[in-house]
Amino acid sequence: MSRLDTIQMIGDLITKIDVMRGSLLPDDPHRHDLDDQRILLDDKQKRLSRVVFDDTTPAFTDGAAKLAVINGQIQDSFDELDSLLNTLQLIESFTNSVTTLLSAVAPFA
Amino acid sequence: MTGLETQINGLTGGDDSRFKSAAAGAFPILGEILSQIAQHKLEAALKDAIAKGAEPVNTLISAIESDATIAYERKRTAESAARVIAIDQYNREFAGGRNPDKLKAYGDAISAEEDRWEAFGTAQPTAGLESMKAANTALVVFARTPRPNIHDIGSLADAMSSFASTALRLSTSVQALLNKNQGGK
Repeated sequence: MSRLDTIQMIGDLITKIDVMRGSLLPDDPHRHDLDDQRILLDDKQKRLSRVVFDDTTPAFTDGAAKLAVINGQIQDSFDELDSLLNTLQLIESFTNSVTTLLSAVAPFA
Repeated sequence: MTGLETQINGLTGGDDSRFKSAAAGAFPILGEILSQIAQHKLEAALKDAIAKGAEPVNTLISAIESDATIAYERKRTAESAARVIAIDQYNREFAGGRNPDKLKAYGDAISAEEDRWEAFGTAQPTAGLESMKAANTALVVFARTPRPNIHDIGSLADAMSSFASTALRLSTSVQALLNKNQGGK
């Protein structure tokens, strides 16, 4: 998975999060959690799009592969009813993994 | 050509090194071709374009494709947020005042955002640039064929036609998006 693929994967997830946010009222507690994750992922995607790095290193490919696995779990959770809490936890895990990936490939981004 | 190359080399920013590198590969070739054309050596110029142009041009297109894709993704993230903002303002009014005129206006705003989102989805730059690369490669293959037959001409025409239709589709989508952003139809 390349840098571009990763940026697109984050974009796809942000779009899904936005659909979930739109289905909840603005004062719903889960909505606030989704808002927070959305802000964080938007920032990470922006950093990934600006920084220049080698996306063929093991540090990047391993981190991107881990992201793809969590992303698959998130997509599965969308298909399950009453799994909002589980989805939220997976999204948080995804966001943390993006942070770890960014720290590994571009610590000053 | 020299002036343009100087301007490209003068670009600043963190992520333009790949573009500069790709442009640096293409400029000497383009310069040589233009020089030969100026000396009325058109056939030699075309042969040079055939021999040297394919890879640098496709590299340049790839660099543009990469930058365009990233710009598109960031714009998509912003457009997606705008959809939620439109829904939120409707929901707030519905939960509060329920003013019919405001609800209608906010409902129309949601509809406009959804139209914009749909138009944006069809304006991806990748397909057009991939098609441009395929057309460039087909042109090189054709030009390297000593005595092209009807099949060779057909293959080239197909690649050019595919690129033209993709470019037209992309252009139409971008124009539709621009019209929506300007409040037109």
